[in-house]
Amino acid sequence: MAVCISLNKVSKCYGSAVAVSGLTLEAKRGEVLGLLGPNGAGKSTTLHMLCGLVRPTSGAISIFGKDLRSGFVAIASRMGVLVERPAFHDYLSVRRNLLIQARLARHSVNVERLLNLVGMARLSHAKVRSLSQGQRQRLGLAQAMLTEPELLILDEPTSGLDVESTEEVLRMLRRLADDAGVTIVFSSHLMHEVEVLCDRVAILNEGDLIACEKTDDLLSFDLTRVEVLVDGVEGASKRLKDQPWVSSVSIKGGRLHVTLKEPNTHQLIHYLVTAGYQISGVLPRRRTLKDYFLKVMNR
Amino acid sequence: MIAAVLAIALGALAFDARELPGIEVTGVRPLSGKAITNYSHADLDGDGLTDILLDDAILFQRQGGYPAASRYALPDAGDAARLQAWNGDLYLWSESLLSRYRWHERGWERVVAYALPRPETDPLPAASGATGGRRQAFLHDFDGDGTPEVFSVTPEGVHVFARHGAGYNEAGLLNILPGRRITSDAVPRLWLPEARRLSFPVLKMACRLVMEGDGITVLLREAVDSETVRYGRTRYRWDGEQAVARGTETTQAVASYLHPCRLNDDGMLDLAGGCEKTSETTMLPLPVYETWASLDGGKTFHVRRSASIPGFRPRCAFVDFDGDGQADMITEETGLFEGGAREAMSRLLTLPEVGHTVRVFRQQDGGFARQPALRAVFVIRLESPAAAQGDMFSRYRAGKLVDVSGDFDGDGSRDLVVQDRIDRLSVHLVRDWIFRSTPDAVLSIDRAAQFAVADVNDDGRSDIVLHEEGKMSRVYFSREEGP
Amino acid sequence: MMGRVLTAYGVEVTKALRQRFTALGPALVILAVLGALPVHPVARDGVSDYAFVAYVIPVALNSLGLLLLLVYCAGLVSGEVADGSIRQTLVRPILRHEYILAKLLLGMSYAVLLTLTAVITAWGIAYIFGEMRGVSFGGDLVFADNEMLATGALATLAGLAPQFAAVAFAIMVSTFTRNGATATGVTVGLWVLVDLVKYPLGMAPFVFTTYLEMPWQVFSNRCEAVDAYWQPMLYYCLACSGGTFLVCSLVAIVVFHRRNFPA
Repeated sequence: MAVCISLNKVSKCYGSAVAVSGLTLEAKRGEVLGLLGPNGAGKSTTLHMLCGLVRPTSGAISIFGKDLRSGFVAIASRMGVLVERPAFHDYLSVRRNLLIQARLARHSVNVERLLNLVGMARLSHAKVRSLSQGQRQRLGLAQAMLTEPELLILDEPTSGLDVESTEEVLRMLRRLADDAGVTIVFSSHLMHEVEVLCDRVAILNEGDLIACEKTDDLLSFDLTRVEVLVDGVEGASKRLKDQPWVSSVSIKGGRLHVTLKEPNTHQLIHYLVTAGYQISGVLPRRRTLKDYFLKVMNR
Repeated sequence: MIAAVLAIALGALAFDARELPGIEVTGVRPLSGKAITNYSHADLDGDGLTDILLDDAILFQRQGGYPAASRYALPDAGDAARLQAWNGDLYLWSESLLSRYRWHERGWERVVAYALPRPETDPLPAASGATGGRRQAFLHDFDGDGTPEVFSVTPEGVHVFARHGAGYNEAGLLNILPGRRITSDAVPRLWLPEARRLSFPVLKMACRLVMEGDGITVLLREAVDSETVRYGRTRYRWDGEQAVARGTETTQAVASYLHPCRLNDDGMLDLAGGCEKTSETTMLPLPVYETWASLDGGKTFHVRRSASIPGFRPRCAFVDFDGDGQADMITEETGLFEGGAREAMSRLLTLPEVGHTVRVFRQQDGGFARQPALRAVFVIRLESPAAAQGDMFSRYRAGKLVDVSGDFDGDGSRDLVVQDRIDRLSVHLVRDWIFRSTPDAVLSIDRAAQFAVADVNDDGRSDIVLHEEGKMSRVYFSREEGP
Repeated sequence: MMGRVLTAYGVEVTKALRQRFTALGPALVILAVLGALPVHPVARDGVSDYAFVAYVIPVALNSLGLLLLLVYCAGLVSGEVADGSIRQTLVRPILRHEYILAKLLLGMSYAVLLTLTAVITAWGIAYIFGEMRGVSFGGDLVFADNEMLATGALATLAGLAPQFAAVAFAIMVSTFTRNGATATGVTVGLWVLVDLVKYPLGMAPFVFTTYLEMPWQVFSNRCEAVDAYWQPMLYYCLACSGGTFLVCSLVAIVVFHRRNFPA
C-alpha cells in the first residue's frame, strides 16, 4: 500500500513547552490509524499539524506524496477534517454552513444526501446556534465528508454522540475505509472505538511516540493467562500452585484462573489430565487495548 | 524662471543690524500695505540721501547708515508746533508763526518766518496722508506754483492760507465738511450711584480728506443701519478763493466692514475690507475670514474666503504685490482646522505648530484672478499647542507673524517675512511669482521682540524693524550680499 | 490564486449578508444623515444645500461610520478565531494570505457600502427636498452644480483611500488578537494613541488618519466658497493610505501565516 501520510521528525513547541517531539509516523492509503494517549500527549497537536492548523516547529509532513506546506491547496482539496468541538457560523443554517464549506472547497455537494448520511436531514434549515453538541458533532462529520475526501482527519469524532450514534458513526467510517479506501487518522480516548475502527494504533505520551502497533497484533490471545473449566477446582488449584511453570492460580466464579510463566497450555492440560481431573474447557484470555496501553504507559 | 533662480542665486540677501533710537514702525495699513511709522522721509541736508524726520529730531543718512552722531534736534518752536518737510526745507508751524528752516553745516538756519496764527481746531482725526502727532500735514501746493499753501482743518471747514508777498494770508475757508452728527456711541443705561451723571451725545464729523493736485476729496461715511454704511465722495477744486465741487458719487449701502481705499488708478472709488463668519458645513463652528473688494464703488464685489481662527486679522489684505500699480488681494489661511473636526481637535490639543498659507490674487482685467498667482505655505512653531493659548499663538491670532508688505531685494515684487519661531524671522524672496519654502535669509531675534517692515532708509529695499518693550528699536537694513 | 481569493470573498459576502451588524451599519448611517436634518434643515429657499451634504457626510461617515467600520473589521478575523469557526475555513483548500485578502476585500466593500449609503442619502435628500444650483457668493457663481458634483465624487473616491487603510489596520489588529472585543478595543485604542502622538512626534503628514476627512473638507470649503485645493493633500492622502494599506495588509498576512489555531 502507498503511503498517504508521512511525518518525519515532526516537533511542535509552544515556547518552552514541547507538545510533540520528533514524531515519525506513517499511514498507508486506506488505513485507519488511531492516535491514543493521555491528555496532553500531543494527539490533537499532531492532527492539527496534519490539517495545517498548527505549524510544526521542525520536521516535515507530507500527504499524498506532497509537502504539506507547499502543496496545501492540493492536499486540502482531498482531505476532510473534523476538529474537536467543531464550531460553525452560528447565525447560518446547517445547510448554508455546508454550502459555504463546499464553496470554499470548490466542490459541488448534495447537501440533503450528506445530511441524511449523518441523520440530520430534518435539521437542514435549522440555525446552527440551535443545535445540541451531538448534532454539531454530526454536522462536523458531514462537513468533513462533504468533498468525498481521500483522507479523513478526525479529532474525537464521536465526542458528544450517544451510544447508538457512536456505533453508527464507527460503522460508517469503517465502511469508508474498507469500501472507498479512505485513509482515516483519528484520535480518541475510547479504547473500544480504536479497537473497532483502527488498523493501527499509535500511542503518544508527553509528545513522544511510545508505541505503534497493528491492532490485530495487539488484540491476539494471551496464552499465558488461561481460564480452566475443571472439576475439583480446589484440588487442582492446590496442585498447580506447586508447579514451577505456574506463576499464579486463583479461583473466580468456580473457574480456575491460571497464569503461566510460558505460553504452554499443552503442559497445563497434560498435567491436569494426567492428574485425573476432568477438563471441560480451556479458554486463553484475549488481550485488550487497555492492557497494551497500560503496559506501554507503565513501561 | 531660470533668470529668477539665477538672480536669487547670485544676489543673496543680507541684513545689517543697527539700533535707531526713536524709530517706530507700528504696523502696516491693511488696505494699502504702507507702513505706519512715527517718522517721515526727507532730504534736508541736500546730499541726495534720504534722512529721517522724527517728531523731535532729524537723523541724517551718512554712508548708508544713521550713526548716532548724525542725529540732531529740531529747531525749538514749542512742543505744539507742527512740522513738515517740503522741498528740502523744514516747516514748523507754531501757534502764531510759520517758520522755514534749512540745514546748514552743523545747525538749523531759519530762512524765513511768517506771522500765521493757527486756527483753533477740535481734536480732529488726521487728514489722509498725515501720520499724526507733530507731523500732521499742513502744506500742499494746490496751484502748482512750487510754493506750498498752508491748510488747516477745523469744524468750520478747511482753511487755506496762500502766500502773498512776504506773508501768508487766509485765501479761503472751504466749507466742504459734512455736518456733525450724533454718534451712536452706546451710553450705559445703568450707572453705579457714585458714577451717575448726565452725558451728552458725542458729535462726530465722520469724513476723510484727501489732498491731490489742485483738488480736495472729501470721503463721507454714513451709517445706513447698524450693519451697513454708505460712502460718499465729493471732489473739489480750489480755484484760489473757494472750493468748486467737481462731482459727487455715492456708493450702494455696503457692509460696515468695508472701507474706501484706492486699489487701482481708474478713478473709481474702491472699497475693501474683511470680516469673520462661521462655517456652516462642519460640526465645529469654524471661523471663515472673508476678504472683500469692490473696484467699482460697491456695485460688484470680489470675495475670497479662507479658513481662519476666531479673532484673526491679517496684517495686510491688499498690497501692490507685483509692482504693476494695482493692489492685489492677499488672503491668509490657517491650517489649524484642516482635516475635519476630529483632526482639528487633535491638532489643537497636541500640535505645537500651525501650517499657514498666504495666497496672492492678482488684480487684472478689472477684477481679481480666480486662482492665486502665488501660494506660499509656512509652518509656524507655536511653542505650545494652540489650546494652551501661549504667547506665540496670541501673536499668530493677532496676525503679527506674517508680513507680505516688504520688498527686500528691491525688485518691485513683494517678499514674505514670517516669524516662524519665537526667536527667528525667515525672509522668503518672491520673484516671477515663485515662492520657495527655503528662506533666503534667517534672522535670530529676541523672544520678546516683535517685527515690522518698512523701507527705513528709502533705498527701495524694505527693512525689518524690531521692537521690544523697554528697548531701542533695532533696524535690520537689507542689502544685496556681495560675492 | 485570484480565483480562490474571489471564492473566499464570495463566501465572506454570503456570510456578511446574513449578519445583523452588516445591515446595522448602513442603517445607523442613514439615521445619522436624517438626524442631522433638524440641525441643518434642507429647503427650497433659493439657497443651495451643499452645506447640508458637507455637514452631514463627515458626521455620518468619519465619526459614526468610521467607528462602525473599525468595529466591523476588527471582528472579521478575531471573531472567527474566538468562536473557532476559522478552523473549519483554514482546513479548506485556501491559503492563509488568500483568506486575509478576502477579508480585506470584504472590509473594503463595507467601507464602500457605508460611504455610498451616506453619500447617496445625503445627496438624495438635498436634491429632493432642497436646491442644488451651484455655490454662489458675492453675486458670482463660484462653483456650478456639476463642479460640486465632481468635487463630491472625487471626495467620495479619495475618502475611500484612508478608509481602506483603516480596514487594513483593523484587520491587522484582528489577526493579533483572540476575540472581537479585544480587537475592537485595541484598534480604537491604538487609533486614539496614534492621533494623540502623531502631531507631537511630527509624523502626522505620514499617518493616514490625518486624511480621513480631508477630501470632504475640500468639498466643504467649496460649499463655503473658501479656496480649497486637492494638491498636494490628495497625493499625501493616497500615498499614506496606500502605504498603510500595504504595510498593514502585509503584517496581517505574516502574523496570520505564523499563527497556530489549536483547539
